[in-house]
Amino acid sequence: METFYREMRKKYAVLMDGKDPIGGQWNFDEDNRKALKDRSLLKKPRVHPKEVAHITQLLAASGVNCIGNIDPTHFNWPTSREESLEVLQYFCEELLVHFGAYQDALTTWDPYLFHSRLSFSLNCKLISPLEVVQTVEAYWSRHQDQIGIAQVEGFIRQILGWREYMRGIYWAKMPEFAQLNYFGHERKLPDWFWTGNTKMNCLSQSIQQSLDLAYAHHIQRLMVTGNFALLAGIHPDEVDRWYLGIYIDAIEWVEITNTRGMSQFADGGIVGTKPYVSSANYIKKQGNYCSTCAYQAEKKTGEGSCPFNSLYWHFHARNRDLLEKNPRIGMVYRTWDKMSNRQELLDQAEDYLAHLEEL
Amino acid sequence: MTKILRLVLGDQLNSQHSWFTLPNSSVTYLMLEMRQETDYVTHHIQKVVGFFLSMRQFAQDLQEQGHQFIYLTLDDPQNQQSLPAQVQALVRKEGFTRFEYQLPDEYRLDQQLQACCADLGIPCQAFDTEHFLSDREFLTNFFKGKKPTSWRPFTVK
Repeated sequence: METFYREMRKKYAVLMDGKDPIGGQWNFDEDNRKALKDRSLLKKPRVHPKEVAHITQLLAASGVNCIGNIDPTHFNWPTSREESLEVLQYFCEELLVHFGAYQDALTTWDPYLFHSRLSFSLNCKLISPLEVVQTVEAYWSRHQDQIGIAQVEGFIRQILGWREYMRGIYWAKMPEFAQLNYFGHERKLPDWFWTGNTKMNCLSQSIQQSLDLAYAHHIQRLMVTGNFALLAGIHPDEVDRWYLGIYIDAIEWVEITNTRGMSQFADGGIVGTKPYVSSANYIKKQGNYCSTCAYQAEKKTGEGSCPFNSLYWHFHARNRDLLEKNPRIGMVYRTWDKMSNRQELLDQAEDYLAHLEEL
Repeated sequence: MTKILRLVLGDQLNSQHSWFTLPNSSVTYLMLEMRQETDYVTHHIQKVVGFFLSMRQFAQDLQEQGHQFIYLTLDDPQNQQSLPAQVQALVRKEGFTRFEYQLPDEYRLDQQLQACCADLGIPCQAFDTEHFLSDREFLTNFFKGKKPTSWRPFTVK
């Protein structure tokens, strides 16, 4: 992906200074991992509220089965090229300045943070990836005194690099890709994925938001819901169905590669190099979900211990044969082997796995 | 006389596509709200609403520019609710001599359209969506152990 991304930067002359990347490096991801501390930075999204009762009535009268919530008097997603271009302009003027820094932040304060809300417009092709990338670059080049390169590069990489690369994977690997289940996971998705009704605050918030808005940002998708589904050993078919249905931008080519591939590692490493899993520590560090949770992020076992902690170790222990030789994961097993509470962690995880519906 | 039917899928709302440069009286565009698409997975209601609204707006805007459209809403009595059945029915009824579509992004629809074309009995042609910046197949050779084919740049307008 990194090679491809660099080629695309050169091919389309995006963020280039002759043959070299502007800013002297290709990738500024290291600067993009902050938690949001200052609420006053947040901006309201640019919305285009529309009356849509005629469509919701059509769906109801036709008996189309849907999930999620809608306010038929305020449908807020852009549905035309003009509206999409306005959302793009708003992103440049108001959100880009903080996009990269907080793109991985998790917060109960705001569902969109500094994300562009352009994924639906892009995926149904109301706007093109090249015009988005060029508009953002042009805006940045006129406002370099206010907007850092890391904000811009992180955004452009998602569209010029990752999005195109995922599509390439999809067409290279379908239809087999849809059958891959590297870990042989078989569990059913807990019912609370469809209601948000779980005591784990990060999941409850991320799922409720998804049901209300048909949207969650990539770290909510990857490191909250996706992380949990992988640690809990949910069948990738179940996970795919959920992601493909619930998000307004979800079309199979982009959904299945990101879900079954990147998030669930069910492809055994075609998309990514290692599974995206974490214990509670990552989620706590990225935001404020844990501070009001019924579970304790620091607690590994026993009453009130955050399920992410014991499930994290259970996942690694049960998949040792498949993961230990991965050079990016080997460290985890050296840590695990030195831990004295291995049995307690495994027992705790077994107990949570037996009661997934009640978590 | 040439009578062309051109399919536009719900995620192909690219008004900048070369198809739409000038209205052409021998071309009719086809857009469909279908149970086939509302039901292949259980969608969020905002997703279905978002697609239908965007599709309707797209067809309306292009009709105002002089393009001819057949737009079937979900409750239209003529709606077959299935893509191949609808195309078959229209070709037979309206006497289209040619069927054209843009390459779908989904494998499911790609297979369905290829099968549909094989049965249609008139010339069929697929066009690029003129949206992405790389070729659909650019990684296919890479995974067969060959070097990736180059990602063809579109002309920058």
